[in-house]
Amino acid sequence: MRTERSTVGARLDRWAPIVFTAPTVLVILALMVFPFFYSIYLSMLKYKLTLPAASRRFIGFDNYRYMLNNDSFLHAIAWTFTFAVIAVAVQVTLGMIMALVLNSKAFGNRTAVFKSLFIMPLMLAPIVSAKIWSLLFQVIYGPINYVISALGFDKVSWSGETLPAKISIILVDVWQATPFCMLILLAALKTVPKELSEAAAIDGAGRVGSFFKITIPMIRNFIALVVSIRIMDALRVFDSVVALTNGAPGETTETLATVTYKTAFRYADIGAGSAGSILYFLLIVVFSLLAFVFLRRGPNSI
Amino acid sequence: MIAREKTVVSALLGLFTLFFLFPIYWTLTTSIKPKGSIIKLPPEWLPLHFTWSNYVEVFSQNHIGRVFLNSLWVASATTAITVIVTALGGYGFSRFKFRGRNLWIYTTIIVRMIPGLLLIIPYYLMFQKAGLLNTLSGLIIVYVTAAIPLAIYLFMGFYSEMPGEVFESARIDGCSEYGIFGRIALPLVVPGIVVTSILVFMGAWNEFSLSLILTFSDDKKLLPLAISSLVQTQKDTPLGEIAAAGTVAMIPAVVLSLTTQKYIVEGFTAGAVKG
Repeated sequence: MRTERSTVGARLDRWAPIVFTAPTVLVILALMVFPFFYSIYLSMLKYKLTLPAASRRFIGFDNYRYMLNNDSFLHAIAWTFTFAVIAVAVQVTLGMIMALVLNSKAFGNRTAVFKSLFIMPLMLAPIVSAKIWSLLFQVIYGPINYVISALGFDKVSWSGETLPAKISIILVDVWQATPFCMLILLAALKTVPKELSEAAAIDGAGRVGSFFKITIPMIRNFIALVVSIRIMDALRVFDSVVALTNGAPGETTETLATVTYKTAFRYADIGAGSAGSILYFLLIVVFSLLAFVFLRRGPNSI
Repeated sequence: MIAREKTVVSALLGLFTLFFLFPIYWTLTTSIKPKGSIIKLPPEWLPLHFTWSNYVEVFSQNHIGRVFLNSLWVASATTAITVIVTALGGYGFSRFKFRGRNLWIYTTIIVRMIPGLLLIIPYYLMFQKAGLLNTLSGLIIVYVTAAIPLAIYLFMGFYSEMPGEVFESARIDGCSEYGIFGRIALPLVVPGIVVTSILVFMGAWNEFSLSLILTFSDDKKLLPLAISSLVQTQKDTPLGEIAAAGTVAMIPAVVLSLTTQKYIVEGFTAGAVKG
């Protein structure tokens, strides 16, 4: 009886790795790997949703050529990268200052409550964040413009002019993503032995000096991680642009994501949209790898 | 020295609180102000008059009640399915060494880099064929897919922290692999399930671009999409209603940040640092 059960059990056990991993593997194959290759195939077709199926045909790299000669797409590349670099630089700097403040023992542990308050924006939907900021940016009755005019400046048309529109998109992203940087950098600061930075401070390096000479090099890998995760996300910015400006004024705030979306669905050009999204994917991979490698193997690494 | 640090710390905490909480405060207060108090200069920093009318308007005119239930259903179903699939998958990948294991682990990491937008186009065409366009089930399927790479990663981390000897001794005691999972691993991974559930739930609750493309009728809308279309459907920007709908959408985020802060922090940190 016992031997019989154990052979059946052994046979079942041999299947265990497959039984446990099969659902995950199947979903990834069917809904990520397959669509990815399908998308590469689509990018080489002339394929418009508005035209009959008979008009579809293979055109090789023409869609890629079309996207790379398309001013809107090229402009979107430039603005998306500018946005990502500025937004992430501000987020990481501000996140570091917040982490240092929360890590300070000046008030003992009484500042812990601020951590739960500051993570709230992180939990909100990007579209909701953008919408609630649009209440603040409201031209006539918005509190931001009220303060600006109270200080004696002209009211700003936040979605009507290029520079303010860009600033508003960056500001909302900073508001939403800085708490994430704060969390990771706070975890990073906890890994630095307190004696080490204090000793350096006493040795005459000063607190600022010890921060740059001891703390930063020690948490370099965490910083590289935060920057590359954030860059990857920032390059995908879509929701807040749709909610704040929808690309206006003109096409000046269109990002890679909004341009690709509009090509595929507003202009119903599946082929060109797919080509755009493949180019977009390649740019994300290359840029985030570069950021990661550059930061990890920088001149000051220890 | 300490006194100066106290001053700097309090000043910065004040500034950060203003920056991070004022938008939330402004939304909450705008949502309960009558129209006259919203369209007013100078702005009413403290709400002087109270009304529910913005909420009444949002719930009656824009099916926000229905939309809220849609969001709740989609986010809950997504969370349940994702957690079941990845609690099993994460266990399989971290406990067993089998051929092709590393290939699969790398695949799950690489697919995390594919922008959702790249997959939306094939999803649209696949769903059109399968009759899943404009259905909540379709959304649940793509949300589960989107959540799996991060969730599997979190679970692999949670299981790898468990001592291997426990599993071995259970095996010697005659426990089957499934028994080991059910009786030993699963009870130990419960905190990990909480962490993953919160992140997956919020991800589905907050998602916008996939639902923008894959659903189009009012009765299939989710909250983020419904809020974004509030402006387009009306001539005057309905500030009070945007604030009311925004408040409704913020509820889970605010409640979760205040009650389960520990798990959220652990989730975001583990999801990033172990990746």
